[in-house]
Amino acid sequence: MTRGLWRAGLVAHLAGALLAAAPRHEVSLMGATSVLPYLRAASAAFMSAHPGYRVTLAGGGSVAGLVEVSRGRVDLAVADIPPRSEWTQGVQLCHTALGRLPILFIAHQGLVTHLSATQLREILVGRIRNWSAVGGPHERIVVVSRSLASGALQVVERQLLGGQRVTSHAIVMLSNGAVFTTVRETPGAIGYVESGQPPSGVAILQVDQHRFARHDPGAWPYYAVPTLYWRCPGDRRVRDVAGYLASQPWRREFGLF
Amino acid sequence: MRDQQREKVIQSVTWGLGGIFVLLGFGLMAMVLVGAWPTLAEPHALARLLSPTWDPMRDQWGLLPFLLGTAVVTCLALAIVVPLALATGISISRMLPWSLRPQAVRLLAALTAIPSVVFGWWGLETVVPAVRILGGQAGFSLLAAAIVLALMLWPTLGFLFAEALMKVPRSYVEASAALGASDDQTLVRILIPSAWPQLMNAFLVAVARGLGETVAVQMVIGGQVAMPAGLLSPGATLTTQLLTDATLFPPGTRGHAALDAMALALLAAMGLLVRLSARWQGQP
Amino acid sequence: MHHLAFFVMLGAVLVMAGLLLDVVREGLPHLTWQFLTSAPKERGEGGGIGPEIVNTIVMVGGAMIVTAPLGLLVGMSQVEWRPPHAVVSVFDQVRATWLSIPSVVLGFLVYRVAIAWWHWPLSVVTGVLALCVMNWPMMVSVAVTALRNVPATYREASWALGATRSQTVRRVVLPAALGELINGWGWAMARLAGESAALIMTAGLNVSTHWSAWGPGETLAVYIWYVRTEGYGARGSGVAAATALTLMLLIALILWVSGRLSDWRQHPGR
Repeated sequence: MTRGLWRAGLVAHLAGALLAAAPRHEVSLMGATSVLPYLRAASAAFMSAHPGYRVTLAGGGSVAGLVEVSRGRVDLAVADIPPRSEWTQGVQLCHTALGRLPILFIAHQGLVTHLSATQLREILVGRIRNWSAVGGPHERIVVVSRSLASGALQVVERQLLGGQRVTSHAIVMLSNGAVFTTVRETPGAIGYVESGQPPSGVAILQVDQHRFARHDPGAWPYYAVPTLYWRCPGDRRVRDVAGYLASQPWRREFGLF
Repeated sequence: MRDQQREKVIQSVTWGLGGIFVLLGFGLMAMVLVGAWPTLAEPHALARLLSPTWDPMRDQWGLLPFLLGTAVVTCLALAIVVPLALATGISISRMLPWSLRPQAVRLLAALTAIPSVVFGWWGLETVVPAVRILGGQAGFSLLAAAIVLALMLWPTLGFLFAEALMKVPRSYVEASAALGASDDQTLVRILIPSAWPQLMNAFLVAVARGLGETVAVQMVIGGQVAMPAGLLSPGATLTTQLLTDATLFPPGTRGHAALDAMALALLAAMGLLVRLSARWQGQP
Repeated sequence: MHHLAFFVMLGAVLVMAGLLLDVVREGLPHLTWQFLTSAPKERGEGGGIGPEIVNTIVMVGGAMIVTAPLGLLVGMSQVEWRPPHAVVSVFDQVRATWLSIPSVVLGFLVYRVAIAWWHWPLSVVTGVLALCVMNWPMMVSVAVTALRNVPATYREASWALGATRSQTVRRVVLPAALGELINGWGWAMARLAGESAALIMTAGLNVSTHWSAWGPGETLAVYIWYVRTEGYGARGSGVAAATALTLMLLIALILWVSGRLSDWRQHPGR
């Protein structure tokens, strides 16, 4: 009886593993949520143009995508940050960039419109806690940040904070859009979103002398480079999908330039 | 003779399936335990797990903020919902006209089927702004999570309370009235004590649902990993942190083991509830 | 005290009614035929939830088709072919504990087994597997309760007439328990249709216009979560509400149909 059960378990396990070994036309993609809206639109267009292919998307953040693609659990990763060896464990990854995606600092409306990089840094690491310290109204600062799996968080901590960490008292949202919605709806809130289109309903902050302008996004100093990664050399279906996603001119509409 | 053989075969098939079911159940629990083992086997495991700092980048894996978050949100939600549900149960089983009682119970039962993500949506629309206005902070908070959870639990608990109270034999109530007890005295001295085991079981069901709820809580709690400073401060629970970090740490890493430790804490709590519940049912 | 209780209940009822009204008020304007049938659109106006509806129905249906018979058989093994008392008691504890495991933990475990070990893609099938793991103990509980509620005298009468155990189960016990089984299955389907935590990790966050079992499997509940948290623009909340309204109507339909079928089984001729 017990041996029978063990065998049944073993057979089920092998069957489960074999089921997925069959040739497929499915491509799975996981990673940064900032480009999820673009990828949802682009993968839908790809699937209409190539019947028979299926592209599945999952969020989770850049780190999650890189880790999972290295271990062969997803075919493609999209990440804002370059892979580190502790995530890939030495697996070689090919990549193609989707473009640059500006990282905008946004605040709830009616607080401030301009901050120096130093002020911004002090706010994000939690040393300045009231808007009155930076010329705003007397109101508590609510920092809205992203979870550790987020590439945007890593870019901000590296480019702006010089390796310091965003305050642990920040509200943590799981996705780019959630940060935007939260900042828009929460008085006193400040956060960062990856977007090439200044979202409406929030104040887009000027940092030092830099002001984000849609017609000249190249002048804005803070940006991520969402990039597709796959295991080298990768089979054709994966390269097809990656090539298609990285070459659609209308990705500018989603802020990728 | 052939009949007997066939009976034997059918019996072994169903028992075999039953065995697989039990093994799979143990397997799920074993997977969590094995997965969490690296965190339990290291020196000072308990002290490290119960530390208040969760900072994976600096190898700090304290689960205290999430344990506290889960405990506070669940307790607060229950503190809100138990009086509401008890009032509902009493009203339905004692106040409503006889003809309306089955409909009221059915309506409550139907409300239990509302998906939790809808409560999360409502929490973002209504509760978070309300808490923000009243409390003056971000609004995303343990309190908001508890309120959303309380409303989510209300139909379930109200339904179970009403059922429990309606199962008390009418003769008890009539005897009590015949002895000159008032309605309130009958309620407190007769109805609630005789329905006590069922009421306790209903309560445990609500505790289990509250501990395990994920999405509705995640949408409104704020996800802050530092120790919450108060009820109005954002926080995180075991389940919401599991959802946040599930894909971040792949199997085999220290972080994955920490997530398994969270799952193990939840499982241990659930196991305890099941034992308690079995005791109230008078079963082993 | 009774009057106080009544007013307290009234308060809770009002809040709940407010929630439902909110969903209807925000959702109804978006709820058009086009919304129900077309695929989601990321840009501009229009777009709908057609593929999400299909995924929800297919995944809930798939999980039920797999687990309802399995649950029934396992339930029978405990009630009809009763093993020794100690076995039943262990079994009951495993069932109760499994049933209480939070769905996010089950999703996490399914992710590890199916995606990490077996290399399944994030897909409809993986989502169905997650729902199956959630639903099996539920199905067993439904079966055990329904079978235990069949009076022992039915079985004894059948045995006295010379029927074997399996004949008794097939001809006497199952027909008597069917009404309650259908009812329990309806509630289980409602629970599965509303599940989101386990599916966010296993079935993906998008849909395909060419449906496939190994393709992406976002359901209505997951879409509500996605739109309300990720969706840009002011439309997000309304679309989430309209999706929530659709999901709740679908669940109401499931419960109504299963309730009617169950009533009809239990009181034929009414």
